[in-house]
Amino acid sequence: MDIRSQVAMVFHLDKCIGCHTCSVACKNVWTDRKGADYMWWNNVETKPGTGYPTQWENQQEYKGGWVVKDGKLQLRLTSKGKFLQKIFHQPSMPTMDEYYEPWTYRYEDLFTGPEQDDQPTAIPISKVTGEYIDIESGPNWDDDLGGSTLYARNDVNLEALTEEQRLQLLSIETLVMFYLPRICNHCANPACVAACPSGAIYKRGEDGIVLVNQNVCKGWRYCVSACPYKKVFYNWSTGKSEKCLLCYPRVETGQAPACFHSCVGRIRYMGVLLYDADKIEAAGLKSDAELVTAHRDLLADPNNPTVVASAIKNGISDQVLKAARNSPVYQFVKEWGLALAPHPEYRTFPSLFYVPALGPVTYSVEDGVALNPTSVDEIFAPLDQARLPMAYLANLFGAGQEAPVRYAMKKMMAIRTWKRAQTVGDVDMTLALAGLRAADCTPEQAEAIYRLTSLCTFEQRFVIPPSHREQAVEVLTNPLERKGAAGFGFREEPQRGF
Amino acid sequence: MFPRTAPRLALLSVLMSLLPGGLAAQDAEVQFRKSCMSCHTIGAGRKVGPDLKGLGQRRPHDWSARFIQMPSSLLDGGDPTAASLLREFNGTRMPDLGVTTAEALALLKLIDDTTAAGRTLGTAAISRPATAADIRGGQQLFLGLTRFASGAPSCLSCHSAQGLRGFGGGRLGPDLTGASGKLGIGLVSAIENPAFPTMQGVFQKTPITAEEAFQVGSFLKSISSQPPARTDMVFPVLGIVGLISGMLLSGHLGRRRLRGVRRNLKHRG
Repeated sequence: MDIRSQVAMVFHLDKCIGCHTCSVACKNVWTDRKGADYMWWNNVETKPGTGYPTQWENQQEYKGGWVVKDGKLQLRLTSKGKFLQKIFHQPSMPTMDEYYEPWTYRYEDLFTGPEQDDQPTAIPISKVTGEYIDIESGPNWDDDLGGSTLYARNDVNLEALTEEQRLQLLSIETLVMFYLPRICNHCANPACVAACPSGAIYKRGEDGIVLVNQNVCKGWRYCVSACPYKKVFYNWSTGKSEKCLLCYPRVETGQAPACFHSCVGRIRYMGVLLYDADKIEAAGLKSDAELVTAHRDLLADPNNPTVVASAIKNGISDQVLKAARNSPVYQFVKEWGLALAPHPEYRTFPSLFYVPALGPVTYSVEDGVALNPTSVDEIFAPLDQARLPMAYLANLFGAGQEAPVRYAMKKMMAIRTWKRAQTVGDVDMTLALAGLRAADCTPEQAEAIYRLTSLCTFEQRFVIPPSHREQAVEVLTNPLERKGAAGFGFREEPQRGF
Repeated sequence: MFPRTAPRLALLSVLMSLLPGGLAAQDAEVQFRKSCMSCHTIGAGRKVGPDLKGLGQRRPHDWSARFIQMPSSLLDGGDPTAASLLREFNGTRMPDLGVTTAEALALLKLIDDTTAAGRTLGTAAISRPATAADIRGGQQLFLGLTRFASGAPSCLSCHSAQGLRGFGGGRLGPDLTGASGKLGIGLVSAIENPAFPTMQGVFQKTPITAEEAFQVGSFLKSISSQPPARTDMVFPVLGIVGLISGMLLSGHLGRRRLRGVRRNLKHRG
């Protein structure tokens, strides 16, 4: 047993309103720089849709993540023997066409345009070339199913659906969509780290945040191809790769990352997960059907004395263990089984989990009078008749397995029905309780889920352990080194002369 | 201002003042090896030109100095001694080497000193007729199949000649097929003590023996009647074919590369 701590996340999709505040917060803090302007470390996608970069889930083309080959876990992209062969030209990277060509507008035309009959306009110009461009795509071009014949139809997760189901998703009366905000998953078994020839990407020991060392990165871009979520980006100005750093300067000071903090729908939860690093390889070798369970088995119970002993042996502090016991992520993922990792079949074991979004509430209206629902199934359409086919969600969150998705959806629907019976009173309480039991949920658990979902405070959503950065720094440098000295000095000496 | 430079300069000037005598003698020998030794020896016998041993006793120094500086003026000017020497050496004219008066006097002093000391400089030409074995040996040396005793690079590294197989020889130096006709009887000594600056740089530290030079000379003489090697098309054609096949191969190896995702969706959509 080798217990490590991981700062993990849950995104509650049922609460996401698709406002892109997270993306803008991240952009303002981190990627508003030359060479980084096309990057969206945080982006919000409309699903079904092709996302950003276009069809990032299409691993036939992009070759991200891990595969089991000859009983071993291997990168889909390359092998130890083959990686040198393609090191100077990576054939599987998304191009600018798949991301989008960043652009701005020539605003000075508004002031310097000649006198004429029409208002002057600011024409779009490329931020790469500075020339006029005809904008063809953007990071959320298919937002709210915009351009769906091109994008929604080509969602990779629609593979398992019948032609009828696909047509239903495209017709205006029955179409359905939900939002999928995405950041780096800070995986437990990151493919980008494994693929880096320079050893520039590393997973931090204390909190599992995956970072690119900008001084070591040589710009080989194997990480860009290897990450199945396409969340490592190449900065074309500095020639180095960059990625979401989970706002570690904020996390180290006990604050939630910018995208979490700014979230309007309060869909984001952050907490510590303990996991057993010894089990990762065995879990990765499991078949698709067992992957969700194997992933949950990796996560260790912070109340188990054996786990605690191993954690202490690995230098995990009491305060981190305390945070792990209060972790909202542990509750959503492990105790309640509501949150699911995106695409477990990539075998990277993400530390970001999603609570799937429910379908619309349905009940019948006759002669202008809404009829009281008489069963759990009547408030929500039964799962088999849900607008969004279970097979689609299974492809997204269950490695093709419907069971874990159905379990989560059923439980959430049962809780909503039970709560409605309590507060509105138009559902029979016995039916609601029977529904809870059928969904493997007790009233106590239902209440806890309801509270953490709807009435959660800031401190309940973000349980961030103190990282004792000041102690860690003392190992490397003397914090009193510049005490009493004037000015701040230089972290890196400026270069002078020739 | 330069506290450390001034004493150093003084020391250097003192050392320099000690040098000139020794330096001049060394300079003369270096120049002799460079400019004279392909045709002359001192005390080792005749080569292309006469053995210079005892030159000071045979001729007055001022005549010798004039001849060294400008042989053509004496040879063409009807000087009787020069005319008789020309006859004696089968009409082989000494070229004008652009030697200055000071250098000529230094060379004459070197000849006198060497004669007086009983030393020899240079080796005499081998005068036996070339056998088939010599020609074959020369070819082997030319091609580098046999190494020069001193470890010098083979002729093939820089020169080509008629009748070489494969890619031919190097292109740095000229084709040597007609070298025998051009250099005449000076060929062998030109190989042994080359007067060409590029070759001197290469062979100064790894000199070729007289026997080896004779063999290579015999080989070059044996092929001199053949026309010079044609510039063959093998190399450029092979280059173009190689380039095209290399591009085809890399295109084939990368046939399953990513050719764009969104663009393909647009075509389908």
